[in-house]
Amino acid sequence: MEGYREHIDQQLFEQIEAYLLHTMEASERYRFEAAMAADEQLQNEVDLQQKLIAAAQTAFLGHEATQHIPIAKSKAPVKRISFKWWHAAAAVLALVAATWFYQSKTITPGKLFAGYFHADPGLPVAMSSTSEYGFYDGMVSYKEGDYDKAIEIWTGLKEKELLTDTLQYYIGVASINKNDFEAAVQHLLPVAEGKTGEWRQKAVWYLALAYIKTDHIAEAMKWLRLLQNNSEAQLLIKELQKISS
Amino acid sequence: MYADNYPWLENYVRQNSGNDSDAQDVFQESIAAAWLNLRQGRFEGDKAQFNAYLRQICRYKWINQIRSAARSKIIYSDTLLEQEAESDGLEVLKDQLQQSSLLQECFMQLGTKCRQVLRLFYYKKKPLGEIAGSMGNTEESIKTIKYRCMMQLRKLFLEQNKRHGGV
Repeated sequence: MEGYREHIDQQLFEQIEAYLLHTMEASERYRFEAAMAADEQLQNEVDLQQKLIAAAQTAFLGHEATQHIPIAKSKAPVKRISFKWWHAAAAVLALVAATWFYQSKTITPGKLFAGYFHADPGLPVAMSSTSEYGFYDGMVSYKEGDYDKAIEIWTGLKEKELLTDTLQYYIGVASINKNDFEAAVQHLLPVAEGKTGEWRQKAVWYLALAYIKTDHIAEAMKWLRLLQNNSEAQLLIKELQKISS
Repeated sequence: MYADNYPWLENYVRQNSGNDSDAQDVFQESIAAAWLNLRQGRFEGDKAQFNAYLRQICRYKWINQIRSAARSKIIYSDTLLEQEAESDGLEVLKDQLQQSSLLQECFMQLGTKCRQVLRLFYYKKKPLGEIAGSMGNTEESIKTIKYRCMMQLRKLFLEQNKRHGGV
């Protein structure tokens, strides 16, 4: 391996790691940088180790970060399933729920909510050292099913006037996941009322579900009618019409 | 980053013969590659420039994907062809993405325990003592395991990169 050392001992490995992770004392850092300037192989090793550390970090951006989704409202240890399967599972659940509701003579808002609700999986946890750190810190808690912690972190950002539709939306869905429907409506409504915005459609869906759960059927139907291209929403409207008729 | 770019990608993929699931896959791969390049100092710029860079990677990956396999029968839209022709530094990007992909492949070849220790230390940023506690080891042994795993990753990457004509 031209340009690289035959062997890196543990001491040198940890020294390079400390340099890259910024845990090295300033004086030692100065000496280390001087050593790198005089030793091309050492410089190459530092570059290589940086790649390897980045590989260890990014492997989970592409895989684990979005593939594990907590099941909302579960009091047992959080069950996790893959994202793609979640889509399929959600579709199957919706179909089963719809079939069951058609056959059942006792449709209630609570049953409809349980049949149609599937928790938002959250966003991939991306960079950890940027201005978005706080948001992603909260997202880690969200993905771990610790909705109280997620809301606490995001509300802190809100107080710093960093509130965006994204934050509002996720505080809203985290509130639904912890069965705080009043708070959910409070946060989802402004996003749903927006004329545009990438979170609007999802906010409308979860807002409608929050209204269903709290027995505000007419209000829920009003919002669901906005989701004309969403077959699940249209099916849910039919179910709600049965309740309200 | 997701909020800034994913809705754009979803639209882009939908308009060019794909669906939401395709968009999700492309985004996961692209964000990992973009971040890897960022961490390796291959990208310099502000957030807006990074978003543009990420979108370039997404476009590149999607064009490649629809070009291959069964999708080759699809006729490219004019817009897609124009974007492809306009992509600057496509060769450089291609090399960067190949190396990112190789690094990730090597990482996935490590054993479960290695990946777990490296995940907790480098990705979750957990202290060694905490990792040791959760895995029933001493802090010193976790430190050694981490070192050995990283050396294994180093060996895999250097060997495979050489085979691919790098280094």
